[in-house]
Amino acid sequence: MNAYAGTIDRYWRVFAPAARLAALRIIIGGFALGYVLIRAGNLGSYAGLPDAQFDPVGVTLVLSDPLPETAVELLPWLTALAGLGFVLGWRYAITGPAFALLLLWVTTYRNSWGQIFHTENLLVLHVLVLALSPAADALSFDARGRSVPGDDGRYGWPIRLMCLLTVMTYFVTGQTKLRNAGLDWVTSDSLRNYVAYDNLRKAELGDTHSLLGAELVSHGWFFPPLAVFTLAVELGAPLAMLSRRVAGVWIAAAWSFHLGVLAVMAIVFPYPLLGAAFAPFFEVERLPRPGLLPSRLRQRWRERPARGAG
Amino acid sequence: MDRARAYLVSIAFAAAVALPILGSTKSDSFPLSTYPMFSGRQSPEADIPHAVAITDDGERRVLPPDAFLNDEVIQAFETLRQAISDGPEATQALCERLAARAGRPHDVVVEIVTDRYDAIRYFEGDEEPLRSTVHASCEVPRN
Repeated sequence: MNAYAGTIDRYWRVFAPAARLAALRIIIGGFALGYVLIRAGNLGSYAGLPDAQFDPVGVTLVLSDPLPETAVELLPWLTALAGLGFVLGWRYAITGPAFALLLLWVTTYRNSWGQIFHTENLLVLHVLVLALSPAADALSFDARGRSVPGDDGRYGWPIRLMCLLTVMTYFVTGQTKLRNAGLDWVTSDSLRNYVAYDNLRKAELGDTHSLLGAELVSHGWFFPPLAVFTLAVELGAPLAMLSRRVAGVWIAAAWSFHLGVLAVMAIVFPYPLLGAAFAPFFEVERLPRPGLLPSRLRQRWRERPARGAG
Repeated sequence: MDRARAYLVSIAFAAAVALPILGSTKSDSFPLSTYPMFSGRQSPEADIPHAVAITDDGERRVLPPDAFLNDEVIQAFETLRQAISDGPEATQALCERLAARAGRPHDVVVEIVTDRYDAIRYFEGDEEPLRSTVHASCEVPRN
């Protein structure tokens, strides 16, 4: 391997502790599991809808008709069950891929009825990466009784990849704005009109709209700086791959951007707003662990040999 | 083996997320997307399609999103918009489905209407539509 390739390899497969990737499995998987449980009613509500309104995308393109009602109602619960195994790291070789594929399926099915939401894309991509990585080598049922593996590149690359996918999704969003509207997106009233339009349709259709956004659309001067900030967050996202310090600045900006979207458009992006989307940028294994079990029980659980571990 | 797996998976994911950039910015999918929402040039004039039930004493009621699918307002909005852009036959078929699904005892007719607003003036107090277009009208079936 030449020096250049070696540098890339050391960057991409950076040595990382198994506990960091495992903590990401718990944080991101826990978010996804909570999402499925909270939204199970909504995910199941696509059962029995008219065939005419079915507009498959992504993996649901394999379907020519909607799924049977029972399947639509049961799949979110099956997903949650696999999600529990994913978070606990129990039989991860099976529950990892099973949860990722089921999550991909139920969220895609939800998006197959005429409107594609963009709130779950990154979550699904992160869970797919985790499912293909050794994320249950620590802090898991599978790792009970095993010695903690040392830092290794095999725990580093999935984290790098999740960071890269995060910044890419923002960059693609900004790039689409430039392709569709060019710099007019900043210099014209487009953003102001979008905020007014989105709040108007919600107000007229009986949904919650943003009172702040409704108030602000009368003040045209407010929106060009907001548009510049939005594009800077989106197009500047790849810079977050350069260093931890730059990543910290970008994450603060991106989180503020989502808070702004919530405030002026009443659109909730829970994954970044709750911080889970940005977790791969941090040393999350250092977070304090909630003591769900009394310390004596925790000690006994750690010492108990795993099945087949001799 | 570990190295090959790392690069194979990484390149596959990165390429998949980047690939939509090469296609049309109008096309969208899930979970791979160009994220086209709010990305174009938006005029202050906005067309808002509604499905409206009209009762026997002339009262008008905007049908809620669960008349279409479930509680997703924007999905109901897009269903209406898609039917209107698909033409009169699709709009009439949707109107009849809605009338059968969401009509109440005193409802006589369901209409699919597009109201055009000035979205900025709307929030400055001028809530009247600039114009309204009725795309389809159908009777509520009596059981």
